[in-house]
Amino acid sequence: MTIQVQNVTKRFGTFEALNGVDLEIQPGELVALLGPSGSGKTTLLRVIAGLETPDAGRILFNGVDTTATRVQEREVGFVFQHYALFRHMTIFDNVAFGLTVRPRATRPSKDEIRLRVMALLKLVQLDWLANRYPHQLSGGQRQRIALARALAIEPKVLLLDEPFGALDAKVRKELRRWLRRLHDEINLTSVFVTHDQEEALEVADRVVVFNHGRIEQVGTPDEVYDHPATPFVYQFLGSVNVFHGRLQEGAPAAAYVRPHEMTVTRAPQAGSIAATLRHVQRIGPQARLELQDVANAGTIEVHLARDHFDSLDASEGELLHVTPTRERVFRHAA
Amino acid sequence: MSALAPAVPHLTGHASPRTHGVARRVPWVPIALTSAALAFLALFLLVPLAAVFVEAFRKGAAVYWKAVIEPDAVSALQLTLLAAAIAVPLNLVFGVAAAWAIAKFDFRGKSLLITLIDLPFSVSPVISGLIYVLVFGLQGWLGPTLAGFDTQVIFAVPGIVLATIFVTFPFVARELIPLMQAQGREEEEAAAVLGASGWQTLWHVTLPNVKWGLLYGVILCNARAMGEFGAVSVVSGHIRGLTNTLPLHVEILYNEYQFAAAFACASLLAFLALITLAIKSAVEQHATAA
Amino acid sequence: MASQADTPQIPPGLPFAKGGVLPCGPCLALGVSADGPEKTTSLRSHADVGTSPFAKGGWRGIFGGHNAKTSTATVHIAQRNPSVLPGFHLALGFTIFYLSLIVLIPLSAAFIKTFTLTWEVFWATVSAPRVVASYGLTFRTALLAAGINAVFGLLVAWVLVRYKFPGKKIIDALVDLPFALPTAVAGIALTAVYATNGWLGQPLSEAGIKVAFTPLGILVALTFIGLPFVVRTVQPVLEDLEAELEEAAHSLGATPWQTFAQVIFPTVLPAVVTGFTLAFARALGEYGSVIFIAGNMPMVSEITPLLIITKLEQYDYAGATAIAVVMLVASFLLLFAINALQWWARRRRGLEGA
Repeated sequence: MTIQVQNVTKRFGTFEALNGVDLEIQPGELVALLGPSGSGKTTLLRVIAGLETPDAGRILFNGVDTTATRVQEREVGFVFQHYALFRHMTIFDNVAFGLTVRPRATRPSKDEIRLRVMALLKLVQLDWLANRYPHQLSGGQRQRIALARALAIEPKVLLLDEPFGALDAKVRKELRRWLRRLHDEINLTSVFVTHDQEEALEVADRVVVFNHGRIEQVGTPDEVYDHPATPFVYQFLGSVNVFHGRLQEGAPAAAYVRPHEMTVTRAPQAGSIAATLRHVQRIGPQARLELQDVANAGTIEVHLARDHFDSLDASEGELLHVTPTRERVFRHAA
Repeated sequence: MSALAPAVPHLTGHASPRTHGVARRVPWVPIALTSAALAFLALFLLVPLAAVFVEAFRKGAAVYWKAVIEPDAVSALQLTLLAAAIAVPLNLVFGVAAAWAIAKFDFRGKSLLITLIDLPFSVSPVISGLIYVLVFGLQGWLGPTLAGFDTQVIFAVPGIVLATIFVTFPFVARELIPLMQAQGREEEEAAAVLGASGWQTLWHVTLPNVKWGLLYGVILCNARAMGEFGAVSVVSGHIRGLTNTLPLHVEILYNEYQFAAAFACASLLAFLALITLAIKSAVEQHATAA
Repeated sequence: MASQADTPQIPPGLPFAKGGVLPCGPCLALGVSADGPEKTTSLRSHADVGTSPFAKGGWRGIFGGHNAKTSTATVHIAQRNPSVLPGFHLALGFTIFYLSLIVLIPLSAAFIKTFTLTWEVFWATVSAPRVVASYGLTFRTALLAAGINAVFGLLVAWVLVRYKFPGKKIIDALVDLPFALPTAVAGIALTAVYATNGWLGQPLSEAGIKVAFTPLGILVALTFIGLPFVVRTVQPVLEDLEAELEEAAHSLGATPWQTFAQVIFPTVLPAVVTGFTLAFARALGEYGSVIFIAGNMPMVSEITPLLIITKLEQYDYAGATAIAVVMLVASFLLLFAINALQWWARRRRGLEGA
């Protein structure tokens, strides 16, 4: 299903959570809404779900305006950040809830509900937990149950709020891949919110970067990482060295260079910067260098291939020369 | 009383290593503090409680039994149960409605509303009765009108029920409000996304989540409803067999120097209080275990 | 603020030319700030948005109602941010209706009734010597009883939280007895115990201390009914107190007493004060447990609520109401103080948590 977000604005008191947001999500896409906390990404997800009413703007599902459709009738699957499993119900009853609360006319029969719930529990590989209660499950298991419950109503779109936020690092990684595979399997238009750039880049087809209630950039993971549209995106996705300077016509500007987009030599090069090697950290095949700019004592971070660094034969305290191989320059606005 | 003597306290587990060093010696401080606390509680709680039962049986079981099955006592008990049976469900419905509005929505004037709900707790029971006399009494706003319809509220059963509702008004609400606020809205939102209506959400999601708090509030509400004295005393008119609740019956017997009978009826109420405390502790343990 | 450069290539004259010549002179004054995301503010300007201050359609629906367009002509208390959960108007409407019917309208009757009195009559009623004596007695005994409960309530809470002893669970449950026991029962029980022929009254009277039918008896009754307040407000705070806090104090060399006085007590103080105020408020209005043990001698052991009853029995409704209004105003001031206190306690905890 296509989701169109048109010019959506939402305020909470004086806080502007969303400021004229436009976005189009294609059928079957897995889209990540990425941004720091308070940037508006969760608010947009809740507006799409119908959990918040926008102050202005429209939400269209398959071209049909659904802004005024009640959340109960929107047929969206929503996975809450803390799962919001009904704690007094068994896992089975949790997953069945969306079907059992239907009016008699559209409610499937008891047997059919049982079949569908068990099929969903099998899909999330937790059918053996049907009679347990939420508090008896691990975080990762609860997450998958929350997903199964959302899918039970056969939603037209799946919305996930920080789906891996409450999990520990290892489970997080596993679940990330699992979600990606599941999405490829069921091919349901899905949107998830995250503040973790790695998560967004690894899982999503497209990434929407948010800041201060506005969209900074929309693109594939490669696009937003390799070609950031704004300094914010540059800084939010991965680490970056920022060099402040002036353009030839005199306007102040800043150059953004990723740590791995630099070379280090012993002799000065054209356009190189003299810097003292302060500290080296070897992590696997990579060497992470921390250098101090001779001119202004600022810190420069450089990531080199370990072989390359070893061939330099440099030790801490030595003067080296750093040359950016690729950079983006953003003019400061007057 | 004998519970006092063997009280040998020892420090609980989470004390620091340094305190453990102290604990290996005789823990004088804990023993002294525990003894002082238990002496205070014995003096003010256990002794009066024991006195109720001892006085009740002072003249033997026969006198006790006679006092309890006397028609006036039975009708007082019936009225007490009736007042509680009306007041508790009404305040229960109110408590759920108030907690739903306050805990699940944001609106201006919320803290004022919470304060107003607590108001009956800070009003003297005597005044609680008085205000209903001022509204419904023969001198009051509605008294003459009601008299025209040959209806009486004050010095009659409706007045007793109203006064009971007033003094027990906040109990359920103030248990539920903080509980439902702490639980947030996520589960209700999840139910809404899954297509549940408001009543379905309330019945299948919200109420099961607060059932222990609800029960707790109902128990306290019921205890106060059955035991209220001051407010009911003002509106009842003390008509034996008609507008006497059990606590009022106790007062009349006491003032007539029928001490054994007074304490016999009082022991019924004390027994009810002990049951209340037992259920309350059980509920508390259930609630913390769940 | 920075504007976006159009192409990834470097326009001539920019600081870093790939393989080119480093631009020199005043154009290059490079600074580095390479650690982490810099706080750059909103970067791209967007078309401005037409704004309507309130949500489209406003709040909609009532409990279970399916009509999205139900709109009421009069706006009640508006929700700050409309929620998707239904039932707001029904729940709030019933709450306010019931509150008004049971509490607010009858309470206002007390204030309206006093307007039937002239100011002189009102003042003469509420400042009569017998009435003033009852204020003094009620206030003093309530304050003292709340004070006793503050000290012993903290002690009991401490013992219940920190120490183990046989029968602790029963004792813990019994603390609530004054909440559960009808006040009339408490009154006659305390009278029986503290009368000159009672279990405790007899030895006390032999020592020359008369309790029942004196102001001291009132103090005993008020201490009884106020007992649970301080215990129950302090207990959860003590339970939540982190063991680390004390361990930190110990590790810094504080003695147990110093730890208590300088670390624990300041933390539980707001709860003690709240419990004290609640006990005091309850004691001010108490009637049932007091009248049996007080003796009710005018000017000596007659509490204010009893005076209201006395006036009522003489059919002096206006006089009873006038005294009631004085008590109500005092209670409301106390209620206000309790709210302010709780706000203070929350803020304190907030500051300590930060």
